[in-house]
Amino acid sequence: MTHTNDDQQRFPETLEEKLTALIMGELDAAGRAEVEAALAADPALRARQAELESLLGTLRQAEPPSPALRADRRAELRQAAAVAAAPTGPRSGLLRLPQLMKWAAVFVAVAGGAWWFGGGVTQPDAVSSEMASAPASEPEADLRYEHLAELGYVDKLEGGLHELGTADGFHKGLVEELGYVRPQEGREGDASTPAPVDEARSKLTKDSRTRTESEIALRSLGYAVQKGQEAAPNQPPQRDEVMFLAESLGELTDVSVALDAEAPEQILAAVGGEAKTIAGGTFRGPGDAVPPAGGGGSNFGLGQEPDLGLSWDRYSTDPQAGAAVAPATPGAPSTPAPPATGAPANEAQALAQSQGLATRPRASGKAPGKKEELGRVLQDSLGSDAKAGFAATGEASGEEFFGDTADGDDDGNGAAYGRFGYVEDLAGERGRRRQRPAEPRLIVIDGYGRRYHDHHVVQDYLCRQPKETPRDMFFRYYGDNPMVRAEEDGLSTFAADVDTASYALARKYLTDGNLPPKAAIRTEEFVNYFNHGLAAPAEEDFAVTIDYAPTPFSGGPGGGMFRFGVKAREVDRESRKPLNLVFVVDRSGSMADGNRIELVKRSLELLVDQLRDDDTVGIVAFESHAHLILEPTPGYERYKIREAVRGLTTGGSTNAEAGLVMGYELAEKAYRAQASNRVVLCSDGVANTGETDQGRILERIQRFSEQQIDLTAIGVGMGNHNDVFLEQIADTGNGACHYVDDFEEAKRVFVERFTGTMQTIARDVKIQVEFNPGVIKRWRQLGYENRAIADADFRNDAVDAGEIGAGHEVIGLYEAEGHIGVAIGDWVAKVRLRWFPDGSREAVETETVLALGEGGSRFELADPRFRLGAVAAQYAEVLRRSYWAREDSYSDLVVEAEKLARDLPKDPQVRELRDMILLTRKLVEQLPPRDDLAILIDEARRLRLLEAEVDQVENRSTELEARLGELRQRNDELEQQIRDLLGG
Amino acid sequence: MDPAAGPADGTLLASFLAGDAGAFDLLVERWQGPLLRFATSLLRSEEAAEDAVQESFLRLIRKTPEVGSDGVLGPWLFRVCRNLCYDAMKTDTRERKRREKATPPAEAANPAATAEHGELTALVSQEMNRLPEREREVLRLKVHEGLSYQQIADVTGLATGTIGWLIHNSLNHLCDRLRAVEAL
Repeated sequence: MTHTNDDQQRFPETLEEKLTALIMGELDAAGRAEVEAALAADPALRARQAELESLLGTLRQAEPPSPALRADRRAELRQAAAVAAAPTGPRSGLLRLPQLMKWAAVFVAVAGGAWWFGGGVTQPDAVSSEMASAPASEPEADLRYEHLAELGYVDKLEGGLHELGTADGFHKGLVEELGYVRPQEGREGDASTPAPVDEARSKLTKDSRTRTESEIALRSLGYAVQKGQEAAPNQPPQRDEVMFLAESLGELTDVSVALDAEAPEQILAAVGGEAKTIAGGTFRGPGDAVPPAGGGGSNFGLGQEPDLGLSWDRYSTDPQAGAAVAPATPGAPSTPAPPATGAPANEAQALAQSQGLATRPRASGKAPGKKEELGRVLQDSLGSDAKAGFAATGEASGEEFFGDTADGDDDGNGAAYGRFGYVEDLAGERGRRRQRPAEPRLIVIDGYGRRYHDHHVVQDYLCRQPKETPRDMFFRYYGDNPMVRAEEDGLSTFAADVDTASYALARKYLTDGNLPPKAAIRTEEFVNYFNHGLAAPAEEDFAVTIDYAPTPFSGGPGGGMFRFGVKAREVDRESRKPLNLVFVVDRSGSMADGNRIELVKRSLELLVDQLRDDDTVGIVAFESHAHLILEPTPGYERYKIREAVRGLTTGGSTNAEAGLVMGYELAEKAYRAQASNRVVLCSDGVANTGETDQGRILERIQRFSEQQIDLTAIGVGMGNHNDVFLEQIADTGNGACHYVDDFEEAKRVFVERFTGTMQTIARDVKIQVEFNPGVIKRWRQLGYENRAIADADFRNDAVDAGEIGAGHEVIGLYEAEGHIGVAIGDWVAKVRLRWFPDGSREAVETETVLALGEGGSRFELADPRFRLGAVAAQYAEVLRRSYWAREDSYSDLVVEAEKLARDLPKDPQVRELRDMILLTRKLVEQLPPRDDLAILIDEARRLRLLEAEVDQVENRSTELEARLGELRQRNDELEQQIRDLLGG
Repeated sequence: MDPAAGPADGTLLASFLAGDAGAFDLLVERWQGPLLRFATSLLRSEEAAEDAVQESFLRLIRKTPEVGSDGVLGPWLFRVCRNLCYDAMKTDTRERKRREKATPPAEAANPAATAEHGELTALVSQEMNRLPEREREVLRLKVHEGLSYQQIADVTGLATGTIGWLIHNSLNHLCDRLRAVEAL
């Protein structure tokens, strides 16, 4: 990687740096000689040496005491060690899990192929045996762990086994999460028995799609119970239900057998306790490199395989190994064993087939290691439009910064290109996992030039969802705002935010053929991207509106949505304040990718066109260092500014701090109190040289922002991580963050919304919404997750909030459920707005009230712009796989978006939204199925949450009590299963 | 970097592999202290740090064969532990928020340190806790845990050049702060 090499060549560079290295004992002989010579000559340097050495001495003295683990933890470790040390201990069992074996096979295939392609140091056969034994286990273990971590399970299950041991801790954790809980409805087509319905609540049902809470809870409970043994005798379970359960229990093999036999007794046997032993018998011994048939079960129940018997074929391997796979249950299909030709090809084939993507028969006699073959396998397993190749990287392969700024310009030895939006969910913060021993690796570079190692590609599968039905989204994400009971808390306070980056970024992902990672979706930015047609205030700073209408989406239990709209006063181009702008342009090497720098230059030229003569512009460019490109230059010398912009070229690493500091200093130099002073940062990413600690950078920005120098962050070609950074930087720097994916978007930001982007009219704008608990039962805010402010801080002016520019609209959306039969005339909701008018130190506050009866009665009749906000928000919620949107499909959204496109024919953004939803639906349909461990864990969490929810039901009947008990028991079993699977 | 005398890590691991669970216990004894204080400094929570350290050792049990017996157990443990810490931070946003709000770890105001080594030590310790996370982490690994730049590179995944740079920076920063304090 370029910057890394840079680093190594650059440090230690100066004498001082070398001196530090010397004192730390890390300098080579040549460097030592140089420093010693310099020390002899320079007394100042000697003083420096003495100072550093004294500091080091003090630092060593400041060494904190060495603590020890608590006795119980120590005992657990002892026990684990004792078990592992026992000759036949279950130590190896952990890494030999069937579904993990599958991933091992991925690795083996990929690593083997990479090795071959990279120059063939070893014969393919030797590769397979080597790869099968050692390196495969590390990624698979990591993978499993990271997967769990991603699911939020690690801390509760693996990391805190001791806690789980008491079960209470686990339960408590879930209850805490109850804000996120709503019980799950049964799967589609689920023939569960009708459950009692809470009458009062059912009256609230406005739409046949929306079930009342209790009904859903009970149905769901019935569903869960029916999946158990109890319901089975009376009612033969449907095939997919049995598989579903069996899958949860990890006893897949025998269920598939039993199903093939079509004998209910066997189904029950498989589902019941006996299955464990049977299933256990079919697992392979630890020495085998190829996944047993058990691993194939991962695809069962997903509805991908019409003929389950075939699944045996998909895992058949060489005859010797195959012997262990033979099922013990009658009625099992035989195991056709294709001729063994060499493990890599077979495994790769098995892998590809295991994904359910490559089911066409393949010439098995083909020698392994052919580039085409591997490429094809990879392509099959990665998705139809992935371009695949292999890279065998030598020592350099241990030096990847993935998830970091995209360099993508080195590694001439070949790289695999794929397009996987979801990889980033996980790879985003992997930058630290580096310096692995040099071993053959597959490197995948996504559309943004970021690179991922093989197991992150594999990981990708763990994140993908079967057909992305909302029921599968449930446990995926933790960033959802909770549903709040109004009687407990009727207040919602947040900082205004006018960023729109998330929407543009998602659009970029989608048009590139990727699904955006959920972390990149910020609902409020989706909503605020659109024009909501709010009336601008005549004289005041803001006009506030409140609307209400029922929505067809599932998130609101009562199906209603509030819209709180804030519209800032417009400032026309002539009467806006003069500008003192400093462009801080990232021109690091990565900016050359996809012509990002050109986009930035064109954007800035657009901006220059908007300037008035009394504006000034300075330009700073940075790569490894910051450079002053243009001193603050008045607007009438536009040609000079334009020339400076056009002259920008790329190369080097990314020292954002240096650029920002110089930019701010320049803006400070040219500061005019009556002007709008602003730094415009254009970058594609995170700093990788200089001050890379984001906290420190933010701290420095904070200091400048207090001097009324604002910041606008413009992101180009960036990824998730960088996105977060730019958003934070913009928040801290009193500004907004925009993502510019193309010239059109640049026009929107720099031309259409120019004054809004450039002129702040209100600072620290806080919005507080209050719901009347007498009218509103529960509410939930959509978006603004990271903009929440403590209710008590609404009037605390020390708390920083959001800035709003001229003409900006800020929309807050809330799902809410009402009480029945409230008196007419009550107020329903209030919204309070508090801000500092630009240049004023006196806060202003307003309050607006929505009275009962003022809201709309039907979604279809609501203002199209209201519906637009609702659809945009709901789209974002589905994209980020919010728990609350789990019952909404893209198809529902398409229907609504189509209507909007008809009702708002003049707004191209609405058509674009519809097209984006359509595109998302298409991409989602192409996703491969999920891994079974993921499903198992999802199910376990789902049931735990359900249990906690049911536990809260007041006035429980004895029947319900009994069911709750069953549910608890079932949950414990399931958890035990997971723990067993994890080798706990 | 060997915190205690006695058999080398490699020897202990070999014994453990041969079925001697006691050898593993010795390893825990040897490494728990450094790992715990490292994890505590990252997570700022003793409980979470214990989680991470315990899990690190569990991983060692599971992966013993791959660690090898070449005696470089320290960096491996630190790396695993560090990854676990970061996972923990990442996983639980509430945890992270809490951590952000939390004051620096208790050691900053360790009365023992103050008494033993005087105000200067306490001051340095306090300033160290104010360093950016990455600098603090690298400096701690170097100065307190005695890892070489290369070993720190193995642990953190940073290039050795970057580590040198971070350490240089952090020392400069500390010097500046101390000078500023002395000037008062």
